[in-house]
Amino acid sequence: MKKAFASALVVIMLATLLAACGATAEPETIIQTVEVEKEVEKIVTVEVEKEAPEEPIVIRFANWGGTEEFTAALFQEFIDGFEAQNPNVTVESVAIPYPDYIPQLTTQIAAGQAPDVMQSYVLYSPPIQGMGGLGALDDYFTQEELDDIMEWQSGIYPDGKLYAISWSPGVAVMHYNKEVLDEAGCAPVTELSEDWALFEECMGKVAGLGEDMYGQIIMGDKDPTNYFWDFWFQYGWDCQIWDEEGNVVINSPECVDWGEWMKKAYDNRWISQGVGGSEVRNTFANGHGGFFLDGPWGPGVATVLSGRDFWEWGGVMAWPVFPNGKRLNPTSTHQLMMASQSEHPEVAAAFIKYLLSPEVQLAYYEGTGMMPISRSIWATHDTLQGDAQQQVLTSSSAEFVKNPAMGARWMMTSDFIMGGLQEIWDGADIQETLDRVAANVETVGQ
Amino acid sequence: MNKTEVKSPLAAQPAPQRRSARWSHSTGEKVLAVALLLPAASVILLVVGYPIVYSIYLSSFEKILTQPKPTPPFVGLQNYINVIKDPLVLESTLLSFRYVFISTAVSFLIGFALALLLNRPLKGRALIRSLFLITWLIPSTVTATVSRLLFSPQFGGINLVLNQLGIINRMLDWYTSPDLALPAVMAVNIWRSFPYMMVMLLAGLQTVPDELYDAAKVDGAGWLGRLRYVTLPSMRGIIAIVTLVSIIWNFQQFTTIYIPTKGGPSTATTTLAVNLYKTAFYAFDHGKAAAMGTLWLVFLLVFSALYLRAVGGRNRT
Repeated sequence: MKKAFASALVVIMLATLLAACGATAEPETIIQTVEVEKEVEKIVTVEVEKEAPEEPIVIRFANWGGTEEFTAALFQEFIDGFEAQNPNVTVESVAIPYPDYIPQLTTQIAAGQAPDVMQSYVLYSPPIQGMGGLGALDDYFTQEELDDIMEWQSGIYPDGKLYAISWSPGVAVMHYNKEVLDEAGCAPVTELSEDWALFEECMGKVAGLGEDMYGQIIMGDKDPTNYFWDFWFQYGWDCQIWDEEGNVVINSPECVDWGEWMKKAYDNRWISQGVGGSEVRNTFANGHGGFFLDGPWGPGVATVLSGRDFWEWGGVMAWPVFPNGKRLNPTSTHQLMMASQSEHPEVAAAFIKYLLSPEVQLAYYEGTGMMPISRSIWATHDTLQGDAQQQVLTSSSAEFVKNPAMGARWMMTSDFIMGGLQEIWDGADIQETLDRVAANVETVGQ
Repeated sequence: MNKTEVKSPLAAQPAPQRRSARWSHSTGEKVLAVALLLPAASVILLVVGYPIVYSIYLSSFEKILTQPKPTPPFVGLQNYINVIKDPLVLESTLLSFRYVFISTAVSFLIGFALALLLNRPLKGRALIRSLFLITWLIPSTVTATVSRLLFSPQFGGINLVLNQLGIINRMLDWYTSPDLALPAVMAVNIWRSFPYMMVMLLAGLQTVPDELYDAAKVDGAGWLGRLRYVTLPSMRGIIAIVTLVSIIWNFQQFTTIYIPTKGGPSTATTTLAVNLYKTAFYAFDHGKAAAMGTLWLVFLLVFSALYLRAVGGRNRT
């Protein structure tokens, strides 16, 4: 009896395992399709084209907006809107938290499970393009449509193809706390933005208000994405990571000068110490700093965190002119990308176009402050000209610069530089530290 | 009665048939055992065995995700040589040893002390035990995020309490000071892991027969004597297991380090686990990361065998 029972059990288990391994939906249909395609390819193609809109199609949309309280509902509205226009299409949201975005996305792509459409920002597209994960968008857009997109940081790569299209300029401007600046006795911000010495003096005065006060709140922890918010200082001292020939020059005399200034600023609390991405906004919103560089969402977030309307106690200004006479405006362009693995590239491209449509761009702007990227929208919506951040940009005649760490392995580069900066803050020899950083950056490549 | 006519029932059975029956019975049980183990074994092979084998296989190829090649070049042991030559790997390995052994030792001492305390008749013992368990039950991601706020130099509770107690006179930058970051992440890990030690050791304490204590008392042993000559020898096996498990867990600890510090400042908290993650997901060098993982696996296997032989072995004899 036991033997029979055991044998039956083994048979059932093997059958279950085999069934599980071989489970596919309607295998007969697939075989039939292949045969038809081989025999009457042309006719079937025409039929498919005619019937394609009726076929249920599922595309996956990777985004971090769906994980954040401020944007989750908005992103769902975008998806619902596209599905309403295309009843046969279902858009599955693949919401990934921002800090995990690159590891999770690269893993999915490496596993052959790439989402069809991906929200991105300017630093996220290089690694994914580098691993061959992106499909070129050129063929899906007319020249007229492409010309309508402002010339912000685009995702055009060395092969000349467009792999990531800008969705919003994501401009970052300097936010200031006017109550703190008044208390410190700083000069008017219009003067501060024109004179670096006055700006330094103001940061010193703010730091002098108390031990928990900082001239400017910056992200000083080792998150590689935080380097985006810190590296702008390098430009003020003409400190580059690579020269035009691609040689690593992060240990140049200019970079040593930059390191010395960063050390001085850290020691004098002109810049904040030890605050990471999760604390910077709280620190600024709670009156512990004079200045804070943030994106277009800055005023909204500061209002929520402080419990008071940001414009009552703060404002935005152009980044001050650096000692080398340059004025910069950092951009953190948000982009949209299509996976090279997408089985429905036409539908994926259509969804990207939908996200770039005026109604979606305006809804995104109204919901988050992310400015539209289309020239036609700016030309036809006068109200946008009153946007405070836009006014700062147009009035400051700033020089827009790209993030220098734009290679596919920029996270490692950022990690080395932020690590070196932290050593400098801790008192390490600046030249020696930068020499070691340069050697490490060399191993990663541009 | 003719003796020759008396036959034993067993003698009537031909010998080969008896063996066959036994063999058949035994085989049936074996088949049943295999059948029952098959689902679990299949799952283990799939989710543990396959990744390990694939990782070892991957470690012999140049596999950099951002430099895709139709066929990744076979490099033999080159990734292992790169790992061994990498000064940051050596640095992070030494750091891991410090992190693991200090974390394990301190959480063991705290857990054991609390287990001894809770092993005595105490009012509200169950409540106290449950309260201690909370930190162990909270997901490590939450613990790490909360710790980031607790150690914040601007508004962190740790600075506030230490300041109020007069232990510090300025706000310390716990996670950005190279001297304080490692102790801070270790403190969080100890805070999170000592309840596990406490529960396991308490279970072990409750298995020590009271007669042994009574006999020790008769022999004139004090509290320390009973601890040294009764409690510790009786618990040698459980101590070996819980400390080994804790050592392995601590070697693998990633969340409570990476979330608050990202391995910084500089490389002050870049343990082997953090280094491996960065090699795989910052540098996208999966071949080298796989080689690091394989070496690490071999080390832990050898260490576990030696440790159990050294610490737990005498208990068996």
